[in-house]
Amino acid sequence: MGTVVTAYLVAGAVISTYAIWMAVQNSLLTRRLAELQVLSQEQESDRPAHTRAA
Amino acid sequence: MRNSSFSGLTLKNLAGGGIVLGLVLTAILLIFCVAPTEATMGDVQRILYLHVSVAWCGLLGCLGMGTCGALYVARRNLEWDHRSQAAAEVGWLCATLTLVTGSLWAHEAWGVWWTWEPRLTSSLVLWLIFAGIFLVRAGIDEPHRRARIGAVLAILGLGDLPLVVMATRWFRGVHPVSPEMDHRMRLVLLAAVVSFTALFAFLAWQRQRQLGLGERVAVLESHADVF
Repeated sequence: MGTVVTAYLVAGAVISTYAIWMAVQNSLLTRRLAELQVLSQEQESDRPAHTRAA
Repeated sequence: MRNSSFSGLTLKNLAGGGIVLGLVLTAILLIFCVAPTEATMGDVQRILYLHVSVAWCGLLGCLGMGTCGALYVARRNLEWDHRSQAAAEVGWLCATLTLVTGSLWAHEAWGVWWTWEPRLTSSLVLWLIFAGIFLVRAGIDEPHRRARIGAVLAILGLGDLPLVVMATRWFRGVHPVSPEMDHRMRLVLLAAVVSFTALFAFLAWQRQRQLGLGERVAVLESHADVF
């Protein structure tokens, strides 16, 4: 039974490590995207009116 | 701002993740509590349910990688490249687990951790194809060039798929072809394959979304001159 439990534990550990890594990356990217969007809006509003994008 | 759509997706993700987790836990419960113990090998045979499921998902990953790569070549849309990469990553993960669980099985059944027989060798080649594609992709910065080269390699990688699937029929080896099974064992195996396929699809979907998000961040960063 030890071999069977080892196989299932290894599979569980590998899959959950990948899922956790993906969740952390997702959270970092989402935060970075929100920051960039705020900065890009601020940049846009700082520009003179005649140079702003339509 | 797109925060509302992010929170909406998060709710969808949580629901999807919950369903997939429920399916996998149910399959594990069936494997250990419902599937009968095999007469000759005993409890070690329970590795088969995991081994076959992850092997199936590894093959699906290769198929997804090649198909999405071909669609990228046809449409030149980076979304297809993200799908191809996501399928490759999850497929590689499953191919790794196939080799690990197969090795554990081989040690118990044949007394060796590894033997150069056709099914095992072609599975190792599949693992190396995935790994090689990641290495090549990692060395290219321009997204469309990376996608184009990745797609060509992914399509070429599809060539190993029939070899893995048919290895036990085309060549003589020690890997079992299609062993006789009790009907309860067959049902549990089916449940395991379905639940792991759902897990595979969920992980690939999440990764594909994330690659799209990364692309948007990269575009915004390259356009912003203040950062």
